[in-house]
Amino acid sequence: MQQVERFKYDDGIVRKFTIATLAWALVAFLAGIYIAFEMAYYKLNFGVPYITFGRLRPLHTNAAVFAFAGNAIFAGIYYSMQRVLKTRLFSDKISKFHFWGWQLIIVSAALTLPFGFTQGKEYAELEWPIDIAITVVWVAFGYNMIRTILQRRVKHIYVAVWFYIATFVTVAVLHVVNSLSIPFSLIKSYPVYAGVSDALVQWWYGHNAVAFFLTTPFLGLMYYFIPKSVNRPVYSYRLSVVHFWTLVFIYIWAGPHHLLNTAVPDWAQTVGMAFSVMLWIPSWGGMINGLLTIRGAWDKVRTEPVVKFLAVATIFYGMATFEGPLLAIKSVSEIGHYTDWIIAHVHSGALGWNGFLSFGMIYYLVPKLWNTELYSKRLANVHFWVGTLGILLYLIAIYTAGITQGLMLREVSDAGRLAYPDFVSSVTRIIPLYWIRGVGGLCYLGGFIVMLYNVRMTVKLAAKNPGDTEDEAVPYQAKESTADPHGGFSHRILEAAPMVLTVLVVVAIGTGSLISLAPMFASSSIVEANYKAQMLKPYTALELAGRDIYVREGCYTCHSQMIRKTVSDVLRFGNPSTIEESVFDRPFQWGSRRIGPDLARVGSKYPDLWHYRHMMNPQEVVNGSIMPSYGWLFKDKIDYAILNKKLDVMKSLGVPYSENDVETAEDRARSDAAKIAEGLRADGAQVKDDSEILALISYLQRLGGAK
Amino acid sequence: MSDSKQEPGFDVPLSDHEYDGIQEFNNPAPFWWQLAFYLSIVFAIGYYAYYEIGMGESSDQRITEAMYKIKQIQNANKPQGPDEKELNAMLAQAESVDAGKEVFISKCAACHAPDGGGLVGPNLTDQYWLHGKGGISDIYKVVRDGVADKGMPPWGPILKETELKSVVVFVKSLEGRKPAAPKAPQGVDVTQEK
Ligand code: HEC
Ligand code: HEC
Repeated sequence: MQQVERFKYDDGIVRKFTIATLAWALVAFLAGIYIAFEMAYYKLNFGVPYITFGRLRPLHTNAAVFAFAGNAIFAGIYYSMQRVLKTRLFSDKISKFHFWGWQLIIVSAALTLPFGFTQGKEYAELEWPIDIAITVVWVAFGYNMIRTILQRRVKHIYVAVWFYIATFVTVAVLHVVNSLSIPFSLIKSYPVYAGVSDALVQWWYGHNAVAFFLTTPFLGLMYYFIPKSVNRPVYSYRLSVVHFWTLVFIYIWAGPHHLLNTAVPDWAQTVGMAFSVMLWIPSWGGMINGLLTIRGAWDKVRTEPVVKFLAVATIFYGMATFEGPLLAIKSVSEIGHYTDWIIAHVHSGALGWNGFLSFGMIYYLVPKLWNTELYSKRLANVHFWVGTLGILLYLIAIYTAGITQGLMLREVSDAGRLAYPDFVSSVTRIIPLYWIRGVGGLCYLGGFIVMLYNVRMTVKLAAKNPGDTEDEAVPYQAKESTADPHGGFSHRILEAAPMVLTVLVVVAIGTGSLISLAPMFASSSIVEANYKAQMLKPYTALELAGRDIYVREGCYTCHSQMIRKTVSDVLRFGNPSTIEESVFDRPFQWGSRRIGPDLARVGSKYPDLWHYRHMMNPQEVVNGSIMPSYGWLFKDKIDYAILNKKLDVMKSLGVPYSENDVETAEDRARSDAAKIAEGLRADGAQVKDDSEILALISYLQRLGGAK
Repeated sequence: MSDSKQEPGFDVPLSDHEYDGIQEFNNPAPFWWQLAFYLSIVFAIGYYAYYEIGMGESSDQRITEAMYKIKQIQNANKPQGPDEKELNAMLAQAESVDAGKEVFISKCAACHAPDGGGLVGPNLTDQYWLHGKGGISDIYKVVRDGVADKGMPPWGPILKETELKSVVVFVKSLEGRKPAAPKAPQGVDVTQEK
């Protein structure tokens, strides 16, 4: 028999991550509320580039996902992992590096996104230097975790830790594969994937970022904090085994459900939908296990704010994971995709599941970490109710908005025409709902501010220098039999061999990834042959400059460039988009939300002067528009000098430019711009030959006609 | 505590499962959950097989057929070309012209200016015309069909038939007006042609 060992947990790092969670949550909520009101009242864009919707929305999503939820999971993982493994974290130094590195990444995101440094891919907007930093810090986190697991004093790793391992491994793979790009300047780059490949990789990433950044780590946290706070055993061990493996295996295939009815090949869409349907029940396995654990202690839901938050979070998880498969059905997606329905879906997950679970966890952690009692349970209850009211207002308004707009846009009259041909009429109809959504957001924020006060007072009243918790444990004997005393196939063997479990997770996520992505790359030569046959030409230098402005301004946050194979899309925007049409698009800009109309075929729909006036002042041209005005594009100058370099990088990525195209890029762009400027001046507009608007107009006019 | 050799019953903690005080039951997953799982797998396989191996239509077939049907419906409901008599009669009615003005302000003014003097699109008050000779039927045709690639949208599929007629009548009523900032003439002077 070995000696009992005494040791201390690293609570300092958990305190740090907890405080960071609270600080960044405030930033994420404020940014979200601001852009919500920009939708309701476009004048809040103020004509200031840094706060226009297109630039602020990525800041909101990144802050919510990586800053708020990210810090929350690190806090929760570091707290719970040490305790279920009965050991201090492997290295205090690495933990500190992880903490400060992550905060630095967030700060650099906050400093680059408003300035338009973006890769233009949702939830992966950050540019290449930051991507590298993320990789380094993430690997440090994973290394710290694995080494901690290896030095554990309990033989078997608990289900929460399985989920943490899956999180680390999968996010690393997703991030690296999706972020591959070739820089053309110190801070800007073009992705190595183009068009449909980029779309598939991006949504493989995007969907699984939700899965492995916002779901698996939170399920792990749920498995620790629910049983701890209700003081009841987990409902079912075997259920946790089944739903862990099915979740990890099935999730990874479902990405293409973000691309239903688009130009993506049918088989990929079918796979995406089939796996999404199969995903429903494994997800509910987690919810059931969470809720049934509380069973028998329901009185705590009434009395304990921590349990309230955790229980409601788990219910929201169940709602969102039922709705996900529903939205993955092609005909439902036809209505819901590109509308606020998706925004509602995401927020029932983000506000309800991630938000409330984090709040519940923090109410649990703070008294433990500072060795004291929570300052006020009553205030925590106030937070709960005000927050719940906020979520309800948000969701009711935005579901209504999404379904209303979705139905309006697709309604076809008896005469075979669109019932609402004017896109903007579907926008003005839902503006009142945008106001209500904003108020819902304010409530949610209000509840959170009550929490900040509560935490502040708790810490203030606690003793200074709380220090680290001590614990003791007997190291386990490696030679002990790992067989399950209950007989049958034993998952226990894997739980005692975490590295084997890790490898199996890699196999599980790798299979789906390879099978669903590889054929796309294999078929890229067919696509190439097709576009050559159709004589599609790559973007001219000026068009490319305009495209980069389009990406920089985040026009994709409001505009899609993908006409789906649906009647209403075709009636409204023209023939369905083809794979070949986006073959030069790095990054692809198919978009995910139509706050404005699709732009895939907007080229030559309007004269240059229309765009000139519309970009200057949309409301003067289209009554009721909520598009921001882009006055600065008329003052800022096109960076002609970098165009040769840009074309050169594109050429190295396989875009068919000739040497001559690359060398004369700047000169050609200048003369193309001068031509457009001349035409505009002839129509009475005032414009200089190097104004950015010329590049943007040249890009917009090319959309839909690549010949 | 259960005997560790025995298959544990309902709500009996597993003997060797304890993590920081957390124990685990080994209760069976609810029956409906298991059933739904198997059903969803069967559905997924069946769905995939139907569309990718079996006789399910491809997305291209589906949209082509749907659009073919829509085109037929549209053709059956096509507005009966310009009825010059009717249009002229409307021109004499103040209500029709006023209704047309409303449509014009909301749909056309952005490009032709509220007083028709021209902006992105041509001046509609002068005697210069790009399409036709300014006759009420000429105007009807160009407004209904638009000018592809020149930035004049086709209004046939967008406006209701009465709206279309009244806005045409309104444009005709602009003839000879003096707009505040007329755009330079475009097209041919139809008074010179005869
Ligand atoms: C806040 C959301 C939003 C952002 C950001 C936005 N738009 Fe729009 N856009 C709209 C809305 C709403 C409309 C429809 C009303 C109108 O035409 O103004 C629209 C319309 C358009 C149209 C006319 C499309 C048509 O077929 O009539 C173009 C072109 C356009 N936007 C280009 C852009 C470009 C380029 C950017 C980025 C520089 C951009 N938009 C950013 C909301 C947005
Ligand atoms: C997006 C801008 C735009 C809008 C909106 C628009 N037009 Fe036009 N319109 C044009 C342009 C550009 C032309 C010139 C086409 C050409 O060059 O052939 C034109 C031409 C015309 C002509 C023919 C003029 C000629 O000289 O032959 C008529 C009549 C006309 N528009 C009426 C309308 C009416 C009525 C509406 C509203 C229902 C409307 N337009 C809305 C841009 C627009």
